[in-house]
Amino acid sequence: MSGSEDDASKEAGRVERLAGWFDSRLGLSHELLRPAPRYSINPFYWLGALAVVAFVIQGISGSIMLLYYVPSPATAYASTLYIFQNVSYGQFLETVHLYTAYAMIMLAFMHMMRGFFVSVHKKPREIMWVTGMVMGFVTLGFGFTGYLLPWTVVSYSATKVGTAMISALPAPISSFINFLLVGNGGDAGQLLRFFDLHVVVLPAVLLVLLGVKMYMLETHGVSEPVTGGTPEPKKGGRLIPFFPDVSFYLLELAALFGAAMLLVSVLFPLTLPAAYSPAAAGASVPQPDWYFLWIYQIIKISAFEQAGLTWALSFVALIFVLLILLPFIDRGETRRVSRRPWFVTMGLVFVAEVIVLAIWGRQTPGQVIPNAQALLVLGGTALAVSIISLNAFRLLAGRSSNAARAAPPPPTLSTANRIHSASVWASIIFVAVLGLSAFSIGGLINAVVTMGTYGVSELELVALAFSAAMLALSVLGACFLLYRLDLGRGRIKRRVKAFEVGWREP
Amino acid sequence: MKLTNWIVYRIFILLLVFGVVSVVFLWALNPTSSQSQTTFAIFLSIDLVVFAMASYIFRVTKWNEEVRRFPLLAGCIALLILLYVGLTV
Repeated sequence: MSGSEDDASKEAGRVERLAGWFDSRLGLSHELLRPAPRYSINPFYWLGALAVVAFVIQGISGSIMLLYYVPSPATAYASTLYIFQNVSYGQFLETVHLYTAYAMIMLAFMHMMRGFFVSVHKKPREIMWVTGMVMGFVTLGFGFTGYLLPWTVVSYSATKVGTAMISALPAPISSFINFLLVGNGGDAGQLLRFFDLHVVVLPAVLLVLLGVKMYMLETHGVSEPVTGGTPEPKKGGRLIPFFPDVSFYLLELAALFGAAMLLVSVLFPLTLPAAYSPAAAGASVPQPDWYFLWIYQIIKISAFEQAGLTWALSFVALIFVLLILLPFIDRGETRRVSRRPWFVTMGLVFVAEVIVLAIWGRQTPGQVIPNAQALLVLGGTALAVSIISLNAFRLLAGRSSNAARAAPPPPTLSTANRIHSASVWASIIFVAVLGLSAFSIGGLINAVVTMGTYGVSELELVALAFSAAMLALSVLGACFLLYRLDLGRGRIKRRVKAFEVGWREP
Repeated sequence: MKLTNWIVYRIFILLLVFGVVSVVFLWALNPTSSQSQTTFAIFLSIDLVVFAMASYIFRVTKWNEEVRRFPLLAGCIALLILLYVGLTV
């Protein structure tokens, strides 16, 4: 062996020894995160991870803004305006910070509802669900506390409405929340508390909860697909290592999400509303940000005005408590969507009501909603969604019993994948059609009631015609989808054929 | 539809070149100009889309699966639109 080769092998030995020293202390060669099943390479499995990506983007953009922002009533607006006008890419930073916050809330909501529909809250992931729900509340807390910081007339008025509502809660709870959010320091104290919560307390709490959730994800792994019921290895699938395979997939999702956020920020740049002043506040109608609009709209119903506010808040709190305790309420063993018609229908009604209330709230700022109108819109939406959903379940149940009678040969893995993919798309389209029909019914009733109350106007007639057209479109869409889902074996196609040839089913 | 390996490798190399050029372009921007804020965002998003596409090719090739035509075609069209907007804005 020559001298240079000798030196090279000695050098390699030193590097290996050094790497071994670190490995024995840090355990680097062990897999940090468990391998994931192949079926988890699907964006729906990683909505929560995308919310974390949004949190990271907010952390970066927020840290840069922290260099310039001064949390006091006299300087908050001026320093925000300074970031907008004088800091390089300041307006862009503010816009990205706001839109990723919106995306984080939306992704957290979608993550929760997906979990609800595919029953990820069931054994052994009950505590994961509860942790996720608390993380969702922290995310809403980020929105609530961050909204006040620019000290604009819009943010100040909306926050005052929010904090005023707290006083309607029972004394011990309202005193504690008042101490936490408002204190005795007037506007300056409140702004400083909101700033501290937004920048220090809530990020710390969220990081701890994220650690807890990641630990539980490591323990239990990602949930199995609802169509299967057996663990992946038995189904002939395979496990893929977290690094680099799953991590590269997550980076792809994060990159596309980041690109989308950047482009939305460029297309719709944020403009700063006017600074807060008592005169400006008196002239504006307080309106919370979109993610609290559904709660605000419930509170605006005339039955909940004045003394009824406590009832309204209790009702909203009850919804949150039921969502947190869902794993201990929905305790059935089955996770299949098709076998949980009541829970799935309740979930669909909840989503439809939240969307209808939020859009309705956007259209009626500051208006008290008459009880009859609220009953019509909310009841109509719930009724329409329930009827469509339960009938769809009935139809699917009929289809599956027909299919069981026909006893087809077991599908191959690729056929099963195609059927699963078709089912996912059919579900997405079906939910979209349901959402559209809920909007249309809400819009239709709103237009009729508004015309009945304030007289006929051109705008309302257009709204009425548009809603009717959308309702017709969604009904036709739902019929077409149900007909297609029948797959030529079920009752609908048989009856349609019977109708064509003039034959009545016995 | 299946793409042949040589097309995939050429697309991969082109993506890497495209990514490097757009990063260099990002560094050449004047950060004090409000106009460059839009250009910066567009070219950064180009970089992110390039990364996502390159990562997709790497991942799928590693799994011995087919590189599908649709994601690459959609990504290339998105890149061309972004490039056009980035250079004309």
